[in-house]
Amino acid sequence: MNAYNVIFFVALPYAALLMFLVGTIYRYKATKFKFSSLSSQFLETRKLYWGSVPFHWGILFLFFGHLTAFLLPSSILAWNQQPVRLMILEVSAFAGGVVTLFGLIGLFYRRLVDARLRKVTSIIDIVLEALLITEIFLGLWIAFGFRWGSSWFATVLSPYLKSIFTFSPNIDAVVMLPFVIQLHIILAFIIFLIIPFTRLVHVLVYPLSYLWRPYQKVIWYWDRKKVRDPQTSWTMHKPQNN
Amino acid sequence: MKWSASFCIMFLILAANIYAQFSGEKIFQEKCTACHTIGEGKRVGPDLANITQIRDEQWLVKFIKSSQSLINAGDSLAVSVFEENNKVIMPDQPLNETEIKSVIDYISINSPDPANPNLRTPKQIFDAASITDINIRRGKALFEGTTQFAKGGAPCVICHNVQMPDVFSGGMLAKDLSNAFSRLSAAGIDGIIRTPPFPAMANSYAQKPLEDSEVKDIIAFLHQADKTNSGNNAGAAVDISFLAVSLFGLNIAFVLLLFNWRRVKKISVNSFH
Repeated sequence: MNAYNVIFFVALPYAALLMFLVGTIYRYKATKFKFSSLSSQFLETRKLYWGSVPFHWGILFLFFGHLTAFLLPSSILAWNQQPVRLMILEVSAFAGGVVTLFGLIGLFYRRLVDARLRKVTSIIDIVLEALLITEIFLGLWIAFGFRWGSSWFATVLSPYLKSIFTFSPNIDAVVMLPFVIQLHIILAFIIFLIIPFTRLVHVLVYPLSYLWRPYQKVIWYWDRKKVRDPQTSWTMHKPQNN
Repeated sequence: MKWSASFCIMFLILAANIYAQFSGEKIFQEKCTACHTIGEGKRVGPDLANITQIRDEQWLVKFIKSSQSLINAGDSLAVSVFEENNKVIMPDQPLNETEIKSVIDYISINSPDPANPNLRTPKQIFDAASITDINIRRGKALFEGTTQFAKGGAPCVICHNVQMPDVFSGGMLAKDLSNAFSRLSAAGIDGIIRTPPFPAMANSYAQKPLEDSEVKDIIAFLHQADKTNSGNNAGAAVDISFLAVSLFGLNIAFVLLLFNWRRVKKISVNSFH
């Protein structure tokens, strides 16, 4: 067994998982206020929409697709049993990947060109976005160049990931995969590894409780329609009492 | 003229040979399997594995045609076989000598090697003459995954492609199998399917091995693919259609984004300063 293979496919995943677990807990306890995406919506909105919305739609679709293939591989294989269904899944995933990449490149561009954003941008933001762009680009390459990834993920990568999570790593199949796929896997672990130090921690504090919290009654004391008119700036101000 | 005649004769011999092999299997399955097996033990009658090595072929032909006639004529061998098998009468078979010989050939081909019972002869692994359209169709369905393997193994198409009309374009993670039959031979394919030397494949099938009939059908399908493979790059057409349909999917996504864009506040809070 090649030492590099052990480092990248056994040591790295465990290091990533450990760092993810310990790092996120530590950061939540130590810097709770910064445990968010540190939204820059107030600084720029127009470019944000074309970056953030497609990126988030796309990445959620791709993430849960990968998660389903890992947790329920037989369900994916059963779905893919009919060629038409396989095509639907593969094409949706590929289109989802392109949408995600489009959005992410938009976000990256916005972060680089907007003077206000540069003030609140750290090196790790750039590193993370560059890693994500590379990762998604590799994913698209794999989807196109090594097609029917949804099926072979279920038979090749699910057992590998399962072996990692059950502490009996079996990397026989992974080390034989093409380099592009190996790089996609390695980058995924590296992204997991750096999550605690990035804005990505916000995925862990998604306000799911909003789904069942009591609703809040909002009474507008000013012209709501005028304020929310998408074409105008915020020219109105809340009436002051004093 | 001479060439045409030779060709016709060769064709007829070949056709007769194919028919004989095919009919041997068919007759055996229809008329013999109720009481006999080839290498799977005794049923009502004896196991017929390697029967041609212990009995004379002419005697076998006579016995299969009418065992009772031989017994009544006092043939000692026939009588002893009759007594060894609890005096159960083997019914006379309305078969001609060619048909009986085709059954004997079938038994011979499919008998295990007595010196090494686990080693199968190339003909036992795959006999081009004995495959039928049904084998090819079943092989195609198993390859594509429209019929599941009995033990639930993943279909071949997820990793392998075969260029053949009407066959769904396969995956590109592993080797293209369009010419696998020429490259690997039936025995090679059989060996790889049964004990895969590739870890990804071994992982997939270690707990879910293919059954004998499934291996045979897959080999029959790959044999057919090898014969019909025109060398056209059908994969390129799939790539283009894949991209085209993806483009359609992208359009839908962007139309939705545009639709939503209408009601988005375009100017951020502090922009008017």
